[in-house]
Amino acid sequence: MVSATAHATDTVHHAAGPDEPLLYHHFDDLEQQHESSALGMWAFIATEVLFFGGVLSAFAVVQTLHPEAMRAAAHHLNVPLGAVNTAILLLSSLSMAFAVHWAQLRDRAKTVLWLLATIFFGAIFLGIKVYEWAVDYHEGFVPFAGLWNPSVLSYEREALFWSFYFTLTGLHAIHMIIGMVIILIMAWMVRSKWFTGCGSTQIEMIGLYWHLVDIVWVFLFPILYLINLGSH
Amino acid sequence: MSAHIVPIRTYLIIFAALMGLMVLTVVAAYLPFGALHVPIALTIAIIKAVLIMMYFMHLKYSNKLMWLFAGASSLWLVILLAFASADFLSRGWISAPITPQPGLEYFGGPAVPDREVALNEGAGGH
Repeated sequence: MVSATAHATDTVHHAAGPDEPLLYHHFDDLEQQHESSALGMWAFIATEVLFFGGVLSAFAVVQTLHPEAMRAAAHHLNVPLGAVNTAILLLSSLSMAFAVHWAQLRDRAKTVLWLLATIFFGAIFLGIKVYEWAVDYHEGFVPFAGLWNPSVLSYEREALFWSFYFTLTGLHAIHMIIGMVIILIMAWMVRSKWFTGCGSTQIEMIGLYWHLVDIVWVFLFPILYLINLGSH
Repeated sequence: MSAHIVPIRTYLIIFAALMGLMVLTVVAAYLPFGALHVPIALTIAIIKAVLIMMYFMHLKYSNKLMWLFAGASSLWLVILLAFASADFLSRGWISAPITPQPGLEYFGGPAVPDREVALNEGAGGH
């Protein structure tokens, strides 16, 4: 450690290879620099897991206390559209992984292409989601602000399911919109050669966020759409 | 560059597995599994999440400090779920006097009569 700090100066070291990432002076080497980025992102992801986990644990309690009402409400959801959306979001995760792959291989054009593909699939997901919300709205399932239609109910507590449904899918959609905006900015930065090393670390970090959003939906889809469907 | 470059082929195999699991979880939801629907759906979701974390998020190729951070969030989530469930689900196991209060109906205040009876019978050891 002493010898490592002894070599450090206040200037920035440029890596020897062509288009290698800039090594900032407070890191020993590129590996340490990359790992501290990844560790920070994983710490942020841990807070996100508990953020969604708080709502999901409340859902678990209500689901267990009032299974009949939750079952009746969940039957109004469109399972084929939910499944198609799951596939589209997995596809967007795949294209994000491709973008990271090509950034690591220093191919700017392909990195930008796959980043844009990720945004494209994300936009399709949100489009389908907005369509589902519009249908729910017109059927009177929005449980506040006078939009609620009590005559569609079998149980008064179905309002609880719809509160969770709009909170969870809404929070997820906000995360997707934030992710898509950042990916768009990153794509422009890669294209305009803002980053050294083709932005491979930066693209990998936004990739971690995008995969987290995918994992959240991997849990939301069965929990909201599927677990209350089954015949007993 | 130290980062492990995952081949395109690996990504495609994982994607195919994720799509297969997605179809599996939808099919399982329509089959008569009774009380097993939630465990089956959550098991498949956890397998999908682990696949995404291992390969798409490169955890498989990261050092153990990254595993610790990824595992810590899951551990605390399990603690959160366990304590929340232990509180709400054990209400009514002992025959404490329950005073109905307006406004508490949604959040495990007075239990639904049929559930309360069932839980008390279970706790009484009949």
